[in-house]
Amino acid sequence: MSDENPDDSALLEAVSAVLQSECSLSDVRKYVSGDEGLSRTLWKQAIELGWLGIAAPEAYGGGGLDFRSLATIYEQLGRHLAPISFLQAQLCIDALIRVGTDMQKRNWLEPLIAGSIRGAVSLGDGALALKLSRVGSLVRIDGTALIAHGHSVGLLVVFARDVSGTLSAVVVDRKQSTVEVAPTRIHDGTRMLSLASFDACEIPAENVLAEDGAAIQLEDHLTDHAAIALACDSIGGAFAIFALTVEYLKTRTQFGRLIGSFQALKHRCATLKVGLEASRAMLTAALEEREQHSGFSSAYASLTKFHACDMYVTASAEAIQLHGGIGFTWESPCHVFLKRAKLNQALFGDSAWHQDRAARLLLSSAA
Amino acid sequence: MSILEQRHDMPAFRLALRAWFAQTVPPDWQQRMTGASHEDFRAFQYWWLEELNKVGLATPHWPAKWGGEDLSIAHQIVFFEELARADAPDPVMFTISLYHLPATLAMWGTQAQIDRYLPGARRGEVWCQGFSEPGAGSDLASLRTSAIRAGDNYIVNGQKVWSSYAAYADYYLLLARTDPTAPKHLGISCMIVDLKSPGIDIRPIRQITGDSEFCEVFLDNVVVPVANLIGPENKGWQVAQSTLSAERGLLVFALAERMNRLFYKLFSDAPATDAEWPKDDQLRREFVRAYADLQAVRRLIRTMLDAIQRSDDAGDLPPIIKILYGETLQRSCELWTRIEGLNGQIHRPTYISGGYAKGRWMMDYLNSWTWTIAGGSNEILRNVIAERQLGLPKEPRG
Repeated sequence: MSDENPDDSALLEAVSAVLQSECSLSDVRKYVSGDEGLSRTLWKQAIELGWLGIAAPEAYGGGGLDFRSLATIYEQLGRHLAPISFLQAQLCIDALIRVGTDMQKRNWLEPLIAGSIRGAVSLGDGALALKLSRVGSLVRIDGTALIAHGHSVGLLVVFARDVSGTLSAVVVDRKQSTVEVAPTRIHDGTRMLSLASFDACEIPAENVLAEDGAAIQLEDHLTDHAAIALACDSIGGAFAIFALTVEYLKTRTQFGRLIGSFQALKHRCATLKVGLEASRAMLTAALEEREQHSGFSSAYASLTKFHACDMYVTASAEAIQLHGGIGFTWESPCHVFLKRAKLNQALFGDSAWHQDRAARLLLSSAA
Repeated sequence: MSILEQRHDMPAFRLALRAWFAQTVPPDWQQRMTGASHEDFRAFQYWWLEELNKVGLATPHWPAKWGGEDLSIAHQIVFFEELARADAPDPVMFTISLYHLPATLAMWGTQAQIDRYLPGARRGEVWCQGFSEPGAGSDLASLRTSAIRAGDNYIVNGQKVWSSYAAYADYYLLLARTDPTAPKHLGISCMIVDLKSPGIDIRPIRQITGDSEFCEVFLDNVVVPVANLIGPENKGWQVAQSTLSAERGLLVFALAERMNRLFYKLFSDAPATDAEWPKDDQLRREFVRAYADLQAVRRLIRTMLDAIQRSDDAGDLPPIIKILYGETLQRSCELWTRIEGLNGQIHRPTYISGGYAKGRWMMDYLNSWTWTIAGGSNEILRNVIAERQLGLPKEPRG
């Protein structure tokens, strides 16, 4: 929209051009039907073009840009249904930059930015199942967590609680540990979930990223990051499927008229348009609050998460209905959007969870 | 230094406004206006306009050549933010006089009309709008009130409806049909009518709130001089477009800011008063959803005001904002009637001006339909979005 600065629009054009040529709707359709080439080529592109480190400090081989540049990429990846785990890599990078010791950064930040290892973070309800205990100079993790992506993941950042309930964030390097990560087939054909099983998994104590208050802060920070990222992905996807739907209504004829001339359908499109613009504006507001480090920035991250994810579900669900029978076919892109929308809605805290988080933050901001 | 003399220093300008509102707005004005008689309402509106005029704040947005201050939109935003912050009254009785009339005359008026009417409008002559008719609501262009040329005059006959504050008004911005043979949009003219003219009968309409802001106006052989024509004869449809885009989003900006302040108060007071609604999953989550929509509409309004400042073009946003604000308002009011429960059903009178969400929830709820119907119903606006913005094919029209 009109609020972008020139740096963002140059990046937007570059990212959008790559995805248009490398990740077209028909490429995504092939991927969803089992041809896995797309994920690999896109990941390679992301590495070569420096997307992975775009917001990391230059000292670690990053691009040194701000969060808005990441937001631009998230939105474009969503718009093109990109089947890569860019968000998970960013969350790991963000965690290490924020709280990592020099050694932790040295060990893991550069390979993450270079794309030579893949990272994933486990937050939220799933992570609460993980138990942490201390055995001499080691920490031990037990339990299972469902994590976003996790495909050939080399590095996990997990949150776990000890018996007293104290939260810790720990880096699990798969080279050094016995964690098992099993990819699971899910409805969304563009991404996956993995089940990480920790069975008395022992990890060196120097892998602890943060404990107690610092771990809570880190979890909050990463929750905000993930919330905004998924809002961006959802807005990109929602506008894309909405555009396809409106185009369809301009070409399909029934009763001797283009069906887009029927007011019953037109009004549904207009209602979607209002909701989409509202979601985008909510996201803009959340990005601004984040940049201003306002006291409302976490609340706004949660507001934009549920607003955009719910809107994405609505827009893609309406897309199927407005396309009619053709929208129910595997050939049509509608289901690919709907399934991605449903995963976005459930990832890193569902809508009710984010509404409650926003309420808690708003109510306590006043005290 | 006066408030307006501090305009070159925005923070100082803001503080000067804040201080002025604090010392000028009577702290009990809402109570005084609650259930007030028409006479008291009118007197209060005149008093408030006079106070605003004393410091140049009734018409700061007018051009200097008309006695205004050429105040930029950025300054007006600050003005309305401070108005909302002070929970000050709006000069609602003068909305047409201060916004719609000057915007219309700026584009189409003669110098004689500007000289004759704007000074009065500024001092408190009340103008109202005579557009809708019983048979011409959404289909405004089908209006049938006729103006037939007779020498230097038109003879006007017809019936108008939904004229806000017509019961207090001095002048009318009237749309009438001057060419019954032309296609419907091409036979309409816009003219100024002195409401003291013989043949005019103004009857307040009782609304679902029990109040009567709107009126029906009957015109029976009313004589209107041809000199009162605004713009060329039969160009009234274009003239009306200038009238309708007059306030450039600043009034809805002020309304959204007021609503935001009220929402802030609602959640910031909740812990101290040990309110029940935050403990109820459904009510709490509905509140947060409405709050998100409110933040979205506030942000959209800023985007629109930025676009107006940059290029004098609001783009696609006005109908989107009107739908989103109206529906957020209506949904929030309905939510709060449920939060209030049975107590909320006890009849409590309200007051006019000071925004639409005032915390008198059942009344606010009833009043919210003025937003979803008046000034282009949400259904008409959806047609506009679908056809003009999304490019969907037009419906066959009569």
